[in-house]
Amino acid sequence: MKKAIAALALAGMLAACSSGGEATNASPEQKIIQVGSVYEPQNLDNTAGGGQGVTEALSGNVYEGLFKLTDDGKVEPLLAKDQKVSDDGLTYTFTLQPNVKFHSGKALTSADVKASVERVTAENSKSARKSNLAVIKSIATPDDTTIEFTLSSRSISFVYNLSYISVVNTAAGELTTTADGTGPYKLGEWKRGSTLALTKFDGYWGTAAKNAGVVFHYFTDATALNNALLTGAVDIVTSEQSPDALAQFDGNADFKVNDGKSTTKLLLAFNDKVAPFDNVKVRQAVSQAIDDQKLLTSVWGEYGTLIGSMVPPTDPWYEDLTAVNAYNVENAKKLLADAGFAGGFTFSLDTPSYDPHPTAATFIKTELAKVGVTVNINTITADEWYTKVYQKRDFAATLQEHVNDRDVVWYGNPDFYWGYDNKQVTDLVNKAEQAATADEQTTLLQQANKIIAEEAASDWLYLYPQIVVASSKLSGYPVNGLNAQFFAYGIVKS
Amino acid sequence: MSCRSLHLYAGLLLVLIVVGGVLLSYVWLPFSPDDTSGGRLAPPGGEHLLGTDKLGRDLFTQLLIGGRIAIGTALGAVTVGGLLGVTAGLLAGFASRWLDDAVAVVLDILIAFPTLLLAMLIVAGAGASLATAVFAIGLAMAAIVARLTRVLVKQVLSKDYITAARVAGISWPRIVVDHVLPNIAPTVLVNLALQAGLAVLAEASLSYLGLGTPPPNASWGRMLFEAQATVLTAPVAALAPGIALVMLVIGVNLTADGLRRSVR
Repeated sequence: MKKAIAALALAGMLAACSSGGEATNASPEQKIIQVGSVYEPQNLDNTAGGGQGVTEALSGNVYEGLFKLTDDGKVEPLLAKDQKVSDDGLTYTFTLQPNVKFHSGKALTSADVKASVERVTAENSKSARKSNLAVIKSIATPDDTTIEFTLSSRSISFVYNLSYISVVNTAAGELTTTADGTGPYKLGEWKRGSTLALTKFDGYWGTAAKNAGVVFHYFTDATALNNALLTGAVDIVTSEQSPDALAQFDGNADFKVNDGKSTTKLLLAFNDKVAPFDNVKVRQAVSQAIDDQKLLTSVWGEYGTLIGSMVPPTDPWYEDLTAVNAYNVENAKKLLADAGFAGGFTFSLDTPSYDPHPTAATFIKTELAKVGVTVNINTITADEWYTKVYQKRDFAATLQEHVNDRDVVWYGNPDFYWGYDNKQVTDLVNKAEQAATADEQTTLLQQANKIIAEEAASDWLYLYPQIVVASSKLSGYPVNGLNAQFFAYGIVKS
Repeated sequence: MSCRSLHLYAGLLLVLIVVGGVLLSYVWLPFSPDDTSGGRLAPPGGEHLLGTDKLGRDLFTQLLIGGRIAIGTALGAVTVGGLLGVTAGLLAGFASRWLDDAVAVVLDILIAFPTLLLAMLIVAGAGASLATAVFAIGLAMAAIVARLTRVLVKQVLSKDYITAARVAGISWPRIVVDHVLPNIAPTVLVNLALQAGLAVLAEASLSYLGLGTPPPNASWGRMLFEAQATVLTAPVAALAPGIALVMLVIGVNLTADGLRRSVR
């Protein structure tokens, strides 16, 4: 009998350990949420190339903006208490929430907001959002709680763009390794290559987090990540990387599989400035020669969505354009012949070494062989991609995933890495930005979107699914991976 | 049957199965390697003996083609390792004391690096391709072969018949061809055979890590990597290249072991 009790006690201790070590009778507010992810930040600063892991771990959790993008894609005020827009649409005045404190104890002032915006627009900033904010002419801070932006032209996305800007205490030191924000959590310990901890901030100005903290566990291997969820080492996986692991969670009452919406698009991006992809017919031919549905099924099984262009269904200007340049091998051959490539051609495809790119590259090689086009797969690391493709533009075509929403506007920028230069599209994108109403903006961007789809500016292979798998004890977690953010403060673990 | 010949024949049988598959792949394949018509992860049996991969390619076809890479790596690495290693070993064996010491130090440093690490360093510098991987593995092998050759050469050179040959006025090159090489050959060849098995494993490891054969070529290591995510739903995709790899490596090792025993 004694032995049996001892064994039970031991089993109980083990069970407690596997659920993160906290007592099982603790209330939800005392529990730490263990999150599993494959996106460890490179560093903690979004303006220094920290990567999508920074957004996932810190945005909304440690850092807050004047506005926030909710899980269903709405823009809501956060640190901005109210706003006034001048009649000409060129001056935006925001009043800040009172009594907001940074984690270091310093009070939030309008000067901090100004400095935070200027970090993003600075010369050496690596933020992908930098060009969206070029419209800011000047920033004034008449008093500690008021901030006034003057724009050089109307910008209907201005408030939306502000939702990406983390308000930071710039005096906090090296922000690549530390963080001082106003969010519901403060930064705990970051063990590189392993975990990043956030602990509840007691001096938070708004509604306090519903848990005691969050620990992000980083994995490089999706199988190991799923095993961690199965054994209870993590409570939730922020985004599943393949459909095959889902079989073990589907139909298991201990877990819930959430099929959410993503904004991540897989692109076969052409270098539109350089032959042969400067030729519209060649781009159309390549787009029509690839069976996107078959690729999507190969990678994601029954998950994921086809898109005919850069706009995901969650953007307001979405239109179903999958019929444009749809799969048609015969027509692809005809287009190639028209373009003077009846005998085909050979190009090098710069392929990031991580999934799903090698699989997609192999598939594209097979498909294009059927129309006489030879693909040489050149496998490169993420760093090489950044320097070779993104900075030096030294490529013919490449594979890349683009995670942001509302990013069709990049086709209006001839200096972007893919070099798509169509004056009409640039004008439409610029006009849309200066539109007086959201409807007008939507109409104009739909027109631009149609043109890039018809001209096959890139080949949009598919839209990723966003699959969050969580222990069924968890509730209140985000299921849509819009811009890769993951607000953790609402999560309750029963 | 003696233990020696049991090792040898069992080993040769395993190697012959793999080599037979590779030879077969040059005259007949069940499907074209680029044929993606099989459907995602079709189960084994029926039209597809081992089923299909994610892209719908026939796994048996991939396995046969992967065999070409495995055998090619073994032969390529042994050629590189053998030529470089024996040459360096001979030079060191004949060299002056000072040069011999220098070569020995370089070899020790090379050998101190695990084969895989050395190969990864070279691949990182030269870019991932099968040729780079084979050269890198061959180079690591050469260091081991060179050290062995050097010792063997020194042993042979200390023999009385060499002194006799020198006294008879026979040139050094003649002595190397007539006396040194035939005497060291059995041991070096057995060692090369053992190394061939390790070379196959090293290439598979590099490809598994994404540093060897680039896609879409079906190296067994790459197939293992790709099957990893689907191991629960399609275990054959991982088992097949794994078993093929084990068969070849054990086959090569048993053969080498059998040869070693008969050399004794």
